[in-house]
Amino acid sequence: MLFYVLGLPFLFAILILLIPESKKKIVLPVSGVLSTIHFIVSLSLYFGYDLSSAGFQFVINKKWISPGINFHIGADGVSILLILLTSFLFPISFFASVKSVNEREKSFAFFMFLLEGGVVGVFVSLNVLLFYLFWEIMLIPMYFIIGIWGGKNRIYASFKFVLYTMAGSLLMLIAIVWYFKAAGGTSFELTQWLSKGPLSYAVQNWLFLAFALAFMIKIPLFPFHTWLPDAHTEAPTAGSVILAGVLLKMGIYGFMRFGLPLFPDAFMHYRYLLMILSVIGIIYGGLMALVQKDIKRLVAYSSVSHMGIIMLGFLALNPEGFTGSVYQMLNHGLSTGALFLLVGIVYERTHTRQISDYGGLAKLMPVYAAIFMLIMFSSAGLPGLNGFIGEFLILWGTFEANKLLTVFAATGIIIGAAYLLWLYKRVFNGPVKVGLDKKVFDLNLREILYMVPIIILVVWMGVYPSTFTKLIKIPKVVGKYFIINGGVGK
Amino acid sequence: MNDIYIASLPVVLAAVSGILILVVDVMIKKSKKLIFALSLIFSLLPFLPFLIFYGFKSKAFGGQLIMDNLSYIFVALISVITFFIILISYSYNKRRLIKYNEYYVLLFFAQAGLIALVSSYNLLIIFIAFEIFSFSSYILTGIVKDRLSSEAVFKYLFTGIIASSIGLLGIALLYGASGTLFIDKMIKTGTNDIVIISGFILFLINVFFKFSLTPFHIWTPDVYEGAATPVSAYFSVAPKIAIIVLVLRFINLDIFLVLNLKTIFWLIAAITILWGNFVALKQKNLKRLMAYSAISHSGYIAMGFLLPYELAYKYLLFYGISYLFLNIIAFSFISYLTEGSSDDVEIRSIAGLSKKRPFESFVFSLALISLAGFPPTVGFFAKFYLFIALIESGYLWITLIAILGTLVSVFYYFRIIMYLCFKEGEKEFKFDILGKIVLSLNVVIVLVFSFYPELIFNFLGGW
Repeated sequence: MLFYVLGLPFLFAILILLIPESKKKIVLPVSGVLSTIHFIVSLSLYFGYDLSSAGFQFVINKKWISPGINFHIGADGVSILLILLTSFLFPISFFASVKSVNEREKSFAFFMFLLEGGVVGVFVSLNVLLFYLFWEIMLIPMYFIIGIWGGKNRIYASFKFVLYTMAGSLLMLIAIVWYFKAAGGTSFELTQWLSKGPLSYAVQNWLFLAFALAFMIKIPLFPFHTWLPDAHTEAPTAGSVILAGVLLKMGIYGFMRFGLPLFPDAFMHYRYLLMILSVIGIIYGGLMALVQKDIKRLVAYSSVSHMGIIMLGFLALNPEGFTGSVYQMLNHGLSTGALFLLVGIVYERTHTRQISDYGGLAKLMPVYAAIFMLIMFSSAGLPGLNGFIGEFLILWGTFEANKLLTVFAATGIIIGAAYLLWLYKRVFNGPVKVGLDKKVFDLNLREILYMVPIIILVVWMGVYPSTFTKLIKIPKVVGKYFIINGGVGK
Repeated sequence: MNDIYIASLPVVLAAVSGILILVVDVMIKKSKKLIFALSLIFSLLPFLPFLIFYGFKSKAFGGQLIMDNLSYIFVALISVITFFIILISYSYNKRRLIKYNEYYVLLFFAQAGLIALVSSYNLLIIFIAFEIFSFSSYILTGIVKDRLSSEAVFKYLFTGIIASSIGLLGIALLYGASGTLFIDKMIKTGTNDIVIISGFILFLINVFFKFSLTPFHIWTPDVYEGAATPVSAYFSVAPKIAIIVLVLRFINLDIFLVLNLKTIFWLIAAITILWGNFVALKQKNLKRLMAYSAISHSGYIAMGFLLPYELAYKYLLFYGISYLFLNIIAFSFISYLTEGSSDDVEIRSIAGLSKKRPFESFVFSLALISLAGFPPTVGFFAKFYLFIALIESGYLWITLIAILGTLVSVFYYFRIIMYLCFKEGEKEFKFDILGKIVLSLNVVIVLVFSFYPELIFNFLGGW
């Protein structure tokens, strides 16, 4: 099953190219339908997953290339949830792009499917080099998506994106090769590396730093975040949704799957530094979001803040924090993705993202305003909606690990409420801006239809989280580093 | 059959092909198409000895010409190269008004030279082979007859002759000190003799020159820019792969091991990688940029000369083969960017081309991404294997330099893609069916190699 979930996007990418140029109007709707099929196929992972065993399931292990680069894929609960998030956001991005992408639709769909395949690949790879390959595959489509369909400053943003990510991942490649040599030089299999036990601390230290840099750039953690506002702001709506919704999660996933189990001692050594960076990111991202004049940039900085919270939850290294962290990844994917979609909707009408150009939008677009408010509260963590559950669990977990940092992190969450509410006030309330009423009109059916699934999920995840949390189990290989019920885990 | 015939067959095939075309050209007027078709067929002929005799080792002329597996692999590759070069040459020559059919003849003479070059341990044969190739390439460079190409051929000729003389001096010194021209038997006399060392280094300088390693690369950008684009494509792959094979022959020789030239290779590879990549950043002309890209790739390959034979054999030939197809794609694409009879290709001029030529732009971008070493393309695996082998053999620092170079190369390769895909522009270039065939064939090969890199190892390991 997993093979189809991984392979379908690549197959679709080729299928899309077969649509003749004369019928390019149907490319994006067809892509939307195809990726909906992919979503349905990936649902089978959720229902097929055996909850009684925590290990990897749906495993495929085939010899591919020497030396020891196997096509080894498998999924545990965390992977499945992230795959579901991915395949859920892609059809929505496609349907959202029908109007806004009106040149080179075929290439757009092609790159999007390539991106989807790469992301799914990252979440299922159990071979370190395979993971690296997928990690890099998605760089190229994202580069093109930002560069071709992006905003005014797209060329600068796409370059910055590629260079940051590439710098990180090249160092990771060296570390991978070094580890390969240290682990006997026969295999890139994760399980084999783990069975050999951790390396000596001095080696771990350097290799961990190389891995961590790649992951920190991707997340992005505080000093490495500068590519993100540019990339987010310039990317087309679909690109921003995918970037914020899925791509950023790969960094934290990397820490969970590779960073901690492969380099436990180094991880423990740098854990507090990473926690402090996360907290700085939470507060810094929030403060930056407060002063932004561009709506999309504001949402981008809010992403920096939220990713800090998610990272902090994982770094707490206890079940509450872990569950909250994974759960918050899904929440952030949904709510930030939805915020980007909403910004995209209004941008299509007015062609401006400056907050000062808006005012009194609630009177002109009541449905839009209502949806925006719901999503905003979800993002700010209002009880009853999804964001609350995740943030609460994370703060609980962090509180057990480090009380002082929790206080700062909670402050950051308050700032989060502040910039969102202030944004809402400036854009939706007050007198209607002159000339705005001629440009805007309320949501049409297509827009409502693709927002509805998100709204349903936002409420569902806030009211009945165990549908999803039951899949979140601490992986066996990292379990021993977690503090469970006050004692070190089994 | 006699050993002599088998061993000399590939060289003779190439030379006779050239002569036959020359004769046909003289006898039949208005023979453009015929000559083109003939050359295409002739270019594939060397495949026959490869298919039949691969695995046999044969010697001719008292061991002066040795055809073994290495030679046959090269014969197969050079045949592929010539085939593609001829395919893109036909319409290019028409556009640039190159009406000399000697063009094809010279390609075959150059081919004969290169085959002889990789099939001998005799320094004199190696020298003569070098010269056969060089003289053909001087004329090929100048065949366009415009200002740029005249300048290029002058620079190439003078520097080339100096390099050849230095190489010849080296050979003379080696002969004087050891009394033999066979490099594999040379070490029996004085081991650390200063004459042997300096002779061998002088000889290598000529090789470095042909391989365009910094600081012996000065001619490269000018020649690549001035020569007809298919010819530049030929220069960027054929002599490179020949020299990979040539040096592979040396790696296991006593003289190579005793003299221990690792430091020289280390230094020259590092300088070449840095120089090639950093200077490429500033280039505005597409052909000059590709020239610097070719220089930096020479640097990566030169790193591989540090490896022991087994590793070098596998990974350098892998690198060479993947690089061959990628470069043919890149140069074939560039060869169609002609305006009128000029092909002074600024990067700016391809702005927005991807809208009008989506397929060709896709293939070109793929080749550039692959040259930059992005996974999961064959270019990544080429670099990856090389780097792994280097790290395993204990060369960490040069690997780091190479990775730095790779990062820098992303800048200029992606700048081309940026112009191609992200910017707006009006210019349009026509691609004929031959060009499309070359691009499609090569892209299929590149994609297959990208997903089954093992195929190349199978090819190298045994037939």
